Amino acid sequence: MREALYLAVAYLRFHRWRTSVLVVALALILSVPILTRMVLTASEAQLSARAAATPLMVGARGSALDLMMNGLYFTDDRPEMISMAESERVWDSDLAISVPLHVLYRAGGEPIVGTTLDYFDFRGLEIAKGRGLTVLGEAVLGANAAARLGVAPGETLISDPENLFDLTGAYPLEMTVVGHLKPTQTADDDAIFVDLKTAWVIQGLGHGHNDVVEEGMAVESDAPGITANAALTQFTRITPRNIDTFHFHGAPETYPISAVIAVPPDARNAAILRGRYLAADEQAQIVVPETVVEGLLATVFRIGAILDGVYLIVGLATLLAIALAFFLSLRLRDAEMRTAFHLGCHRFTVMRLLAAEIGIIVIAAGLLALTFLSAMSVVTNDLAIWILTSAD
Amino acid sequence: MKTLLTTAAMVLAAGMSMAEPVKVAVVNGPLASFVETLGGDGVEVIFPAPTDGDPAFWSPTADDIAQYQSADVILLNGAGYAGWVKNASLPRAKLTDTSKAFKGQLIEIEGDLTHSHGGEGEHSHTGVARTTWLDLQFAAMQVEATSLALEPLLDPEDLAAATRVLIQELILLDTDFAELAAKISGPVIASHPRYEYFTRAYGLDSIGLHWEADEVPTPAQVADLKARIAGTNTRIFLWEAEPIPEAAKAVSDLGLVGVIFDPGDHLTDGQSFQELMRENYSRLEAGIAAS
Repeated sequence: MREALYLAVAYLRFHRWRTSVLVVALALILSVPILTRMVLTASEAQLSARAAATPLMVGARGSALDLMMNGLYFTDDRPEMISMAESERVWDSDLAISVPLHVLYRAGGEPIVGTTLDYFDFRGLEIAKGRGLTVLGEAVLGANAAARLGVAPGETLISDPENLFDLTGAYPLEMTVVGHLKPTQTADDDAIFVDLKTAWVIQGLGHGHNDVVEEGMAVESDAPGITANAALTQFTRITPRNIDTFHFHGAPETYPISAVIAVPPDARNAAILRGRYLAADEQAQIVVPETVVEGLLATVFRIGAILDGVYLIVGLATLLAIALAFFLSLRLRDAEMRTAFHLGCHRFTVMRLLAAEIGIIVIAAGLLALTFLSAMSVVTNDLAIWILTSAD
Repeated sequence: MKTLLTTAAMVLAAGMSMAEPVKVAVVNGPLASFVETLGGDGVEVIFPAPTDGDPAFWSPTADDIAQYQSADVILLNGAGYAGWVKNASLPRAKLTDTSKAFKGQLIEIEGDLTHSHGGEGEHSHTGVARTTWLDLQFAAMQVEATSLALEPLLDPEDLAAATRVLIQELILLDTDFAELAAKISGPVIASHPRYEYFTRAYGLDSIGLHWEADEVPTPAQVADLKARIAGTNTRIFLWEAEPIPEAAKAVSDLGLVGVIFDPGDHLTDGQSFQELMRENYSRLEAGIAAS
């Protein structure tokens, strides 16, 4: 057998490019279905874990999936906004802790999540570098967002303009990054966290400017309001010097939020709270993320099963193609085999030689697939999060 | 239930030991006093506002706000007191607005002037009157709100007993002030816009000024006051703090009796809110007798 292996290795080394193509093709056939399964499993784990850790979510009536994906993964699925009154409603129910979320804007391509400090306690987020949020205009970066944006605590970050051609839109806001969060292996790693009020400033609902009357910019001052002339500019950066000039117009309970995470202390409170959103004329909906995820996962599994079928067919076709390549190769090597036979090689010796060649190729492909899958397993979770968060 | 939820979340988040004093952050002296009276050794009051300024207009640093964030309970006065709160990031689950129960009865102020005290920078009293606790019934409601916020964190029986005693003291003070105020003829003069709830609660008319106890009133201010009290039988002039001799003389020269009525934004030397109010009562009583 050793001689057969020696000759097989010599042959494969001589035809190294052809051998390499065969090894890579086989490795791909072996690894791609497994990798797909790994990513699907990681996605399922991500979805299930995050959903299970989020008892209830309140949002506008409409797609529960959009609401959940935006609220849990900060995706671009934009559910219709609800008012802050919905968050207060949860508080006033005395049935759950209410954590409002405002996920509408981005900075450097990463989602800006406006929320209250209760979110940090709820998710167990910890500061790795710098400090937490204290005042308006500050931002704390998730671990991956910090790495991608390369903005250190003390440096600034500008919110992305919503629409470059919307001259009447809100000004981008320059935020001071005050801290980085420890990695959590969740969508929080990719987010930029700001106070809810900062998100409203980005949206243009709150702003700061010089005193209209003192600066001589008032053109009308009939009570109860003052109309300023066009010289009035709003501050685009919140600093200790101008923070006191920042103010909001209108009642805070009317300000928009994307969703509310409701955290009831037990199943009884959760059930009572859910019951309060059943009225036919109810404008808001309350969803159990875990239930929504179950529906989503059923779809994912169906897609996974179809993919398995596709891989099976493609794999078989590829194996047939490889077998054909071997067969044709044998035909090409007919003279070589004949020479070996004339030299006294037994028919089985020639068979052993061929088996050794195939065995070496299969083992090399297996090792290559194993190495590839090991390398990919490190980033599978990130890949799953990326797939979930970049889904439009 | 709200406080139970809040406490459950806080204990979960902080993993705090129930044996340690409960950290309670407050925004003014009366709330600090209520917490100390109700909680005794079981509480640690966090009130980082400097004693030489008005906590209502104080601007805390990031470290100060971090102290508030680290507390187990954060008590706000409400009524727009401590304006920094609106721009600060504070955990909603720990916040209690102690004036929420009487939100509909807050006093709106209109047309007030922007002014400054020493190095504090300019501020205005426009909006809602802030010194809610000078209506002692409101103070009692703020004690109730404080007690509710502390309930899950302290021994319930001790807390209930302390709450009962403190509210009784405040109700007694309220009755005493009502009887005393009935003896005042004509409007009282408020050196600074701080006494809106006091005058309304005890049926007094008032003339509001912007005089500072540590500043000599200008001739224009004196002339303005003279014109405003002409034809009234007003006699009592309320000072927030001990006035400088020149200011005290300007008041007495107009035939008015100056009475120090400290609202107690800052309480010093371990004095409790009810002790301060009892002192204010005695000074007002003496002022009425002298008028």
